[in-house]
Amino acid sequence: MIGWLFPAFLGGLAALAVPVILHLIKRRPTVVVVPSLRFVPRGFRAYQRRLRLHEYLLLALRLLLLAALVAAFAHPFVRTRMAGTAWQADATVFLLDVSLSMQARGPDGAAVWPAVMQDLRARVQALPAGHAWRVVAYADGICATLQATDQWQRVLHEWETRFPTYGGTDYNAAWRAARDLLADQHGNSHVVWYTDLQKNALAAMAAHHVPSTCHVEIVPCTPGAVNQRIAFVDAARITDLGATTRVACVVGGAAKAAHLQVYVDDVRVPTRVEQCAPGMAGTHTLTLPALRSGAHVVRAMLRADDAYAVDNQDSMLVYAAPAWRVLLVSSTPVMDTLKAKTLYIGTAMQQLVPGSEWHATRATIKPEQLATQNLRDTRVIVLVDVARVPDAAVRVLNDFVRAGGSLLVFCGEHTDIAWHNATLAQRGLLPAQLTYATARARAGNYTCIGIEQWNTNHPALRWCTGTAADDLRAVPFYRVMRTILATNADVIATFDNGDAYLAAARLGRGTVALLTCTADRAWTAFPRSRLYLPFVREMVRWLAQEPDMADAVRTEQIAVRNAGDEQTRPGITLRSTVPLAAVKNVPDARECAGEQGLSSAAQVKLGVRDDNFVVSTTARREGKNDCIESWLIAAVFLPAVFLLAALEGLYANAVSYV
Amino acid sequence: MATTAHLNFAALARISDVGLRARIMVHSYFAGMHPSPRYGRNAEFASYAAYRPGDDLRDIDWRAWARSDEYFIKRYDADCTLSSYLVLDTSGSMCHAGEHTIKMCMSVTVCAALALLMLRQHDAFGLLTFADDIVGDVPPRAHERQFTRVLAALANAPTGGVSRFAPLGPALEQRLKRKSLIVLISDLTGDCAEIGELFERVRFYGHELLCLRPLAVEEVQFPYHGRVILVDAETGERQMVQAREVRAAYLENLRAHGEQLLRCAARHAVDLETFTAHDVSIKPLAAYLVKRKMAP
Repeated sequence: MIGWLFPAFLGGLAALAVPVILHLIKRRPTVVVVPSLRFVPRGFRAYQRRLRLHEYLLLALRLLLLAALVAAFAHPFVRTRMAGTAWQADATVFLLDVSLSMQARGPDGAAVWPAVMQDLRARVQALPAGHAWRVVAYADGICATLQATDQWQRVLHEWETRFPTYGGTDYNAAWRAARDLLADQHGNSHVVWYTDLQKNALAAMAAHHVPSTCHVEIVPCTPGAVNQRIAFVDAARITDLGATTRVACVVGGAAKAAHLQVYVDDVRVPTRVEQCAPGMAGTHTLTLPALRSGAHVVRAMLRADDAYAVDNQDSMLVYAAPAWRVLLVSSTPVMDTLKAKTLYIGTAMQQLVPGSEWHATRATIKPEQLATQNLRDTRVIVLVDVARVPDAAVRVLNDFVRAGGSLLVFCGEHTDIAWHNATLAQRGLLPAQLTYATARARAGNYTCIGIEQWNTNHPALRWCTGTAADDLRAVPFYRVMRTILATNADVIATFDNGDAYLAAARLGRGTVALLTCTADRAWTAFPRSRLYLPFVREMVRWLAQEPDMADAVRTEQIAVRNAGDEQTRPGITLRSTVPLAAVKNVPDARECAGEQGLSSAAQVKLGVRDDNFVVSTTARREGKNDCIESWLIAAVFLPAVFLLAALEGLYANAVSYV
Repeated sequence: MATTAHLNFAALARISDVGLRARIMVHSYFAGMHPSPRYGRNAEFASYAAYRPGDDLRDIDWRAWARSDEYFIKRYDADCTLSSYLVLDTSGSMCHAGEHTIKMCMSVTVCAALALLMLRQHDAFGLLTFADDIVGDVPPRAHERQFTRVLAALANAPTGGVSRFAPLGPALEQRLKRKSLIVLISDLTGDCAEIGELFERVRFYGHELLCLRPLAVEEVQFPYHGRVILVDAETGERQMVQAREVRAAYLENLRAHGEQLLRCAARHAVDLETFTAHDVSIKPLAAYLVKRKMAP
């Protein structure tokens, strides 16, 4: 049974019409001068007006030559299996890809993995009783196997949550296992291969000798089997100028191995990871060199190793700012002790997650250490229940605030009210005059007060809405410092008794703020609330005059470009601003429809049918998919082409017919 | 004579000088032969005859008188001069150009070679060119300059037109007062009846007629393929045919015409020699020499 590996080439048979037309059309006759026409029979003159084929033998030779040429290109092969007969397999092996790339999602956001498991269950259930089957889960190696037992549904249910793993994909291990399982199998077998068809997938299948009695069915699992994209899932503010910083990005689709290229402001920068292995679907950290202060366009791009056209680039605008510091001034600067007054606020300002949005560092000093040389890179000074500071330190504070810094004062038991009013409030370093601290109320007692109102538009408390607002109102305050607000003071939050909780005022180019409660749990339970950390951070961020992340970091969607020279040095066009939530691009399977590729192992065609992504694969290797094509080409068609070409040339020359 | 077989006329035709071509042809034809000068009386003994008064006393064989006491005179073959006329057809059909040779070039070379040969034989020779009428005439003479005249006439002979043999008979009859050898060089594509009438008329006046019929190789083989437009070289008439289909009929017609010409020539004791570029260097000269012996 002869089939055609590339039946599209059979369209070349239309070229057979060319010699037919050439032999049909009237050619310009040759003019020959003869001594006399008396010897030429007159009866043949009527012939010139007839339309008929000339040189039948030459025409037949040319038609055969063209047909043989087309057949050679169409790559004929002989099916060793009889077509039309139903394939009855005696054993079935399911090769289940559980690598990280199986976490990919389709264009509608639906995850691939549950669909794979559902399909696997359906196939197993459809198998007849007594049918031998085995499921081989593979990632970096063989992760697990499952054979026909009564507990197979429970095991598959466990697998659904256990997998995919964080490993890569080793197709060779999977096919070795399949080959070993089928080695002792007599009769027909069936291999159902769940794969996302990454780059070496088909090559791995071709490299392992699947017996001709085995029918391989490929179940494509990844919508981005060909198309892959890279997208920044998280944009970050880059700090620590002069040091190496990190930007997170994600490689979507993960269909093939690719080179990761990173450009910063159109200049390619070397990255630690250049080669992205197949199956890398997840957050990948790029290491960028030191950046200047300001906005930078960072573009990450994946260039596939093969010739597929991919829209695999993404860019974002990052804001590089110099590192800044929060200086905590406390009489008990040792943080590690539970009695330290800076315990909670210091912890709140700690950089919990490397690479997170909090880029400030904090330091704790004693009031006597307040000096100009200690204020390098400091934007905010926090006085945490400090009784008083030296006069020289007061001058330092005054200069610091008027130069653009911010001062935050927490009240407490140790606060020297007279000194604060006479020194700080007199110089404008406090937005209010302190009067006295209220009596302490018991927890749960109705005498406890709470925050009642706050400016919802203020940057420090803008985040506090919804349930967070309710939680903030429920925070008990046992004791507060009563104040007399200055004329230029701005009350940001007030208690339910009308006293101010947070007040602020401008002084020079800086800001002074007053919190009428302690920074620890002495007067309030607020430090134990989940709202304390965002409250402190946003307040300090406001005082540090740090721009909002949403305003500072933008991501841009770049128009799709085809692979080529253009991508090696792309021109960046910032067209629109999209929210961070929309940065993560999902490969659209419909964009891949109609794509087809040809590798040394197989021909792959992609399409979408009934909302399913379909990959049809035709193996090309001899003996792998029950086809024998090489001897047909070598022994029949190519010699036929050469022989016919020689005959055609000789005959055409003999009859002088072009 | 053996060397003439190696003479390639296609190579010879590349020589533009007709006289040189003729000399090469004649010399190659006579290579290896020993020519003897023919000066003085002809010494070819024929027979004895009884003396009759009035006979030349120089012819009496005195030795025979001594043996038989009777007067006998010796008779010798007369050493007469042959008057020859080279008649060349310059019609359009003779201008047919084949792949390698042109019939007219071939005929002019043969004509010049025969003239040179006649000059060596001390024969008087002339040239008559014709197409649809007489177009050139060099009266027969037997001296050296005659060869130059003939060459000039051959070089300046106008070509073209339809070959007509009817005017040729009266013209020859008018120019030849005694029996002569007429060498007609023509492809004889005309009407056989007209040609036969010419043969009959020439032979009627006792002239020897040698017909040399040059044919091109393409004319004999008809090696064309596909659709061809055949153009009559004399009339310009065109006919488009499929070469492969008409080839057989053409060759049959050509063969029939040749046989008809041969029958006509045999009926009037005319020698007809057909030659192509392959045998142009041997056939015409050999035919002439044979005819020269039979000439009156």
